[in-house]
Amino acid sequence: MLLFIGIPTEPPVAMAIHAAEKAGIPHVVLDQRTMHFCNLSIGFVNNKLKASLQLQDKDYPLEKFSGVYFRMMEYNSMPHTDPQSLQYMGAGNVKKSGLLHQQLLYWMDITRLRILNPPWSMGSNMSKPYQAQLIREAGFKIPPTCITTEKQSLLAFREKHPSLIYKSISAVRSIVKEFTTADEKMLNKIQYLPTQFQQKLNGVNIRVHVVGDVLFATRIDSEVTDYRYAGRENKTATLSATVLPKKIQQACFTLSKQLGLTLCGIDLFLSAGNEYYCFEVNPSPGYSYFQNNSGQDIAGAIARWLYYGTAKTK
Amino acid sequence: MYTLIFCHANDGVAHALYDALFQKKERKLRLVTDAALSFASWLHEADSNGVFFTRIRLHDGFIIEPGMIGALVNRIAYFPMPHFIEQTDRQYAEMEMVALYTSFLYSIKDKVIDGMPVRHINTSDNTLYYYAHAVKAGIDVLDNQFTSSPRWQHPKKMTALVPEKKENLLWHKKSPSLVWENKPVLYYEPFSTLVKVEVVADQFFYGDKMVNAKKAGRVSIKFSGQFQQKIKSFSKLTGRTVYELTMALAGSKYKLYAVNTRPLLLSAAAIEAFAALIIKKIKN
Repeated sequence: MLLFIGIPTEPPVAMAIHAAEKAGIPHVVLDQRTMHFCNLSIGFVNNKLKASLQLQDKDYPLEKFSGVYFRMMEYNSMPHTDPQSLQYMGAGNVKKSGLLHQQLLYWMDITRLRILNPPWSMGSNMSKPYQAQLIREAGFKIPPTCITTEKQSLLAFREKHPSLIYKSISAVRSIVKEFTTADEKMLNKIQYLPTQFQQKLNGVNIRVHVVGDVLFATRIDSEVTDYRYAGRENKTATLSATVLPKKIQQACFTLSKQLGLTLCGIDLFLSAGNEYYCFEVNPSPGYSYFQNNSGQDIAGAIARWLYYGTAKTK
Repeated sequence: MYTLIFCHANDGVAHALYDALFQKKERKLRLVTDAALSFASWLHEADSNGVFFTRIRLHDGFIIEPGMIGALVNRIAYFPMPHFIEQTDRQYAEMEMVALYTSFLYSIKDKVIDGMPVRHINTSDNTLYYYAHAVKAGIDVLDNQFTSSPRWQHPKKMTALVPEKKENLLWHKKSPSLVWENKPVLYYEPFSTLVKVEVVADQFFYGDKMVNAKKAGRVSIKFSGQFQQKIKSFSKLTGRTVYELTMALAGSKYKLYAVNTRPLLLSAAAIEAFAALIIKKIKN
């Protein structure tokens, strides 16, 4: 049996649940918004891990599940935890929900079950330049990068790479923006906080979703710098399934394995010089956008991998 | 080659380590606080080969570059960024600074002692994570159970350790088997003694002082040679070099109760071993 944890109507969670239903895979869903109605028991007795979940009046020994897909919001960002919200569930429930969220994450860090993805594996997402070093070690090129508080250092970097983009380096999501002449006026501000600049490459974005032993490559044709926000600029992004060279496929599997991210969204870039760069690896990919636009059955692969231990179709 | 100790200002271990190294005639030595790093000038640049170079210019003009570092002891876990007034800006700045620092330490990882935890942010607080590794390393762990429901009544021998209010404590005494639906409880196997074990690489140190809430006294403790092997294995699994274990005596066995990866104080013997470890690292 599979366990899905998250907000069941959120597209990636909904699609994975639907895929399990379609494949006849038994599963239960834990809606994190109603976590306070569940109960949990986790601990070590005689040096052995014991964990149970009570969900809708049924007890499930957690270690008996074949796999867990989780995609949880920060519990304290949910409206249910906000006293000003109509959905507020009360202080006691908020506290209980928080503790249960925390304990479930702790358990997922140590269980031997198939988890997409264990929380520990998501650490590299906290530092993009750290992750870039791991990406390089897996055999990919990374774009020339300058993270600095020094205006002079940035200008020297710009001499070498006239076309630049800038973006955040932590797990905080930011819109990738091109560095323009208008931005030069703000350059004095970088002295307060190191800021990341990268060479802007010309070519095509390719998003790769690795699910265990299979991968899906999606080509994105768009004229905007950050295709995720093409709509905001009244532009479009066209997605289509593509096939990567064997060597690049292998490097994607190696990277997924090295990071411990059995499910991941790898942002590749095929440059005009026909070289593959890797920008970053997303440990909890919102794959639904790519599945909806390219027709690739990523959700099916997730359900299969969690249940059978392989994402390949029989 | 310099020995750098990066630490929070209130870090007793870092200051004691600095003194120990100074007494051993180490003069290329520098203690750098989190605030000094937050307000420093940074350059962290990767060329077309993807190799990162870092230059940190402190406000007194001291420049840190990879080539001058013999060893770097990291005692920093977070960066306060007080110059950002708005809370959301400050939180963002703190996360960005940690991200940069993590990458910098990784780029010189062979010189770093106890880098930033690069696993999920939860891991460092996750006692279960340390228990699981302790079990793998052959160290017994204290029986424990987090529970939120009376469906799973705790074993009778266990006692609730974290009733948050006095009245809760009274209730637990009166009805030890009662678990409230909305008051999750963490139970531990009863124990009589707690012993702090300080670990520095493959050495460990502990006093003979008994710590007991009611009847303090002294006991003589001896851990077996096998214990050293187990600790070595635990250090390897958790990737830590200097840390503190709290062992609890339950029945006739010492079992792991807690792990502190950044103790703020260590014994003189442990500091001495820490200093020797650094000197060995510089010479190598």
